[in-house]
Amino acid sequence: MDYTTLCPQQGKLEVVNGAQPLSPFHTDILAFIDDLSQEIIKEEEFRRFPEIIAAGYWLRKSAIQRLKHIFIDRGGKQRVARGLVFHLAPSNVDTIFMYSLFLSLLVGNTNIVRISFKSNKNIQGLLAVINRVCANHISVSHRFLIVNYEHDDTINGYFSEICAMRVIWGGHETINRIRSIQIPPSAHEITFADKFSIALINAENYLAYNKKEDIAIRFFNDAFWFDQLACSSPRLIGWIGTSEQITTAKEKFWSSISAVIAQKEYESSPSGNMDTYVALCQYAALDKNTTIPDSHFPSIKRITIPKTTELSFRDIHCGQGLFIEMNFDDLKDVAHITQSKDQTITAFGFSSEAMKKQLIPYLKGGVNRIVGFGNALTFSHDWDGYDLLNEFTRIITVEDALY
Amino acid sequence: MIEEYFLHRPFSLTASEKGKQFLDRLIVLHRHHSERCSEYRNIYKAFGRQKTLPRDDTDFIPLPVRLFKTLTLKSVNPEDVQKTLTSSGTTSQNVSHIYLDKETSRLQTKVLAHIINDYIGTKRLPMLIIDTEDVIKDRQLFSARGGGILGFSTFGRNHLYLFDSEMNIKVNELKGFCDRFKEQPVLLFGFTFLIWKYFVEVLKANNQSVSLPHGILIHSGGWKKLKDDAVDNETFKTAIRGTTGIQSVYNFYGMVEQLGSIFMECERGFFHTCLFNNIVIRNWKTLKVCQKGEEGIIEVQSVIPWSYPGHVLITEDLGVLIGEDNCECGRKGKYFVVNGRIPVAELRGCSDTFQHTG
Amino acid sequence: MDEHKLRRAFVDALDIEDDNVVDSLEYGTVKEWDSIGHMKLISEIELNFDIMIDTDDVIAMNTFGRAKDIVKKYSDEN
Repeated sequence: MDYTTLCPQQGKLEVVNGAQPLSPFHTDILAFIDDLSQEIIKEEEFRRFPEIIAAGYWLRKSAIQRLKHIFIDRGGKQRVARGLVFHLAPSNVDTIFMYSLFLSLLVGNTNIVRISFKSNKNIQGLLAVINRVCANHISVSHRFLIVNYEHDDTINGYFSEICAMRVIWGGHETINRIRSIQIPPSAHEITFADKFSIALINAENYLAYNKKEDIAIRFFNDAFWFDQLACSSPRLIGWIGTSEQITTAKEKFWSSISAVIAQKEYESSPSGNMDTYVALCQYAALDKNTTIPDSHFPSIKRITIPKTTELSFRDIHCGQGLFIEMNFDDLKDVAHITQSKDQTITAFGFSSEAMKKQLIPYLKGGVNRIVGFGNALTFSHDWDGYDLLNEFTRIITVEDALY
Repeated sequence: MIEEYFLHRPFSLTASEKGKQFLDRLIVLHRHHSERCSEYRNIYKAFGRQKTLPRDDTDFIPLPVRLFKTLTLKSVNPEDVQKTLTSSGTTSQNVSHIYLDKETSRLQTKVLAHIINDYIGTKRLPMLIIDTEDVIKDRQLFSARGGGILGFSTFGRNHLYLFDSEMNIKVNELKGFCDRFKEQPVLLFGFTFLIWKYFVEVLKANNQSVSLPHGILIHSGGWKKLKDDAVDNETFKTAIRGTTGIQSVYNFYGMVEQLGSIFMECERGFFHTCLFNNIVIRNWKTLKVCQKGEEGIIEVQSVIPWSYPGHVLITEDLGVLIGEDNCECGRKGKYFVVNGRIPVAELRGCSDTFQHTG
Repeated sequence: MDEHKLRRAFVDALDIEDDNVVDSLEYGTVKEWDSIGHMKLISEIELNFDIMIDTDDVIAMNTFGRAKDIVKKYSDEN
């Protein structure tokens, strides 16, 4: 089979396939992840790649301890690892494989991870660090294999045949194609399909808030770390308030975003820029009630679409710096436009009570995370509606009286 | 009034002589498409431009060529559509659909003839088509390749398709053609990559050559595959001369969305606008007009498209405007170079892991 | 609480001069202490003091002065 082993350097499929499951949060794994986190955070080179520092931070000792408590609180004492997990990582967010892999490793599984990119500078550096840490943790290094290959039914078929669980991240086409390859009847599978995310701003509270620059930086991180291609990066900006409030708030908001973009020297790629222009024209062509408020295109493109639109605007959107804006009367109004493709709502100026009472009961589908600005990309063990610690393990019940 | 254009030779007017008339025609098209094509109208409306007419030729909102792949864009009644042109795209599996009525088809043919006759004269020439006849056999679905061949066939007679169905050179027929017409001008037409791959390289590999010293080769199509093999326009011309003796080799730049109003290469190696078309180079980020000498995205304009809103389009090609009305070849109009497609950044999305393998 | 140790954590994590670490040093006012620097800093403090800082305090720790109070609180708990 023609695949390249990226990590560990001397990694062997037979070794990984032969390794036995460990108990969740085993000390060997904890030690490995602790070292890895420290190495990542200290690596000077990664200062340019905030998404990698974020992954290292996420894996730090205290965060893993917290995760362990959550696992136990949710009945983890009864749970054991599943065995060999085959992960197909997404190509749009190149650090996701870390979370998928290390969460699974943490609860005791062995792992094969297929990544589709290898030349990205950040990933090369990251793989080098993982390899370095592996050298000091030989037994743990026998528990996973990160590989790269062009999609190939033979390779995908083999990994699928030997796995106890398959995790597919990708677009609809990928998921359908991989799903046509069988896994053992008792194997488990979870899929992370393409998603669409929304930012909601309470215009009145935004206008009253005095740290607008901070909000802008947080929004910038949410939207631009992965060129707006991450599923949880906001693409639709929903404004709630009176039309006067919204008009003023929009003006202040976008000018502060422009300032951050200039300060961070962010630039979309020429091809990305064309992609967004095409999408913009497509929206405009198909709904006569859209408006493009600023046609000078200062790094970002915006289009206002009425909330009553019949456009399938989620499918046309292709990230890379395009923001759809919609005005809403209240949260219930927002709930009406939601659908199963929706994932994250990044919100500013609301209480969680309001979300629970005025939004969640009226959702039409989708939406499984509501977070503050700046946290859109913060990975969580609860993702896309899955409790991953739970999914990566199986439950064993033992009755008290066995006589 | 469009008929008045044909009173002039295609490369004979300077900017000031061409300008007003050209803009007037674009405005006629703009009004027509605004009225008849809701998608076109909606785009102008979204940009807040539904009430004002474009001020000059840089003031139109260029429709992305890719839009013809995702939307049905037409400005005539369905029953007036005579044929539908399709092109396969390079960026996706989607296909462009261009709806042609009788008048638009007529203009395409007439404009193309007017331009080509300026290069080869008005007499029809013996013609060697460097392709296989198979591509024009299915008339139902016109491909860009077949459409191009048929469009150019009108300038020739005694047509010979050079390749059989397997893209092999029909050696005997070729020899017969060359023997018969070697003393007189002949027209050769084909797509750049196919000419290179199945004609020039095959001749070179077999150490063969043919003799068509009075041949005029007109070719078009992308350079991308050739660039991968480090073949540029100069290499191409030299190889053609070496293997066929042809001295006159003209590349042209054009697209299926604006069939007919092509941009012909001149003897200095530049593409030229003519009476029927125009280009604007735009900054890739802001879409503002670039200065002469500055690289940007090529916007193409044509006076032809009536049945579909294709008169002002933004391509996905990069180019540089070199000058206007003062090319050493003597032709008037803007002259420019094309630098290939907008580079695609290492693809992080749109998130389909299968995209790389297609 | 060992203030010197905390100071070292700031110097190492943010890669700034010791002189700059004063009570009023504030998140976002020097380029080194941005969101990335903050993650490095929290990680460094947690390791050096062997503590686990709650999310609320991670956000609240926006000056060196505040950091001293917060770290003291956790150190006392240990």
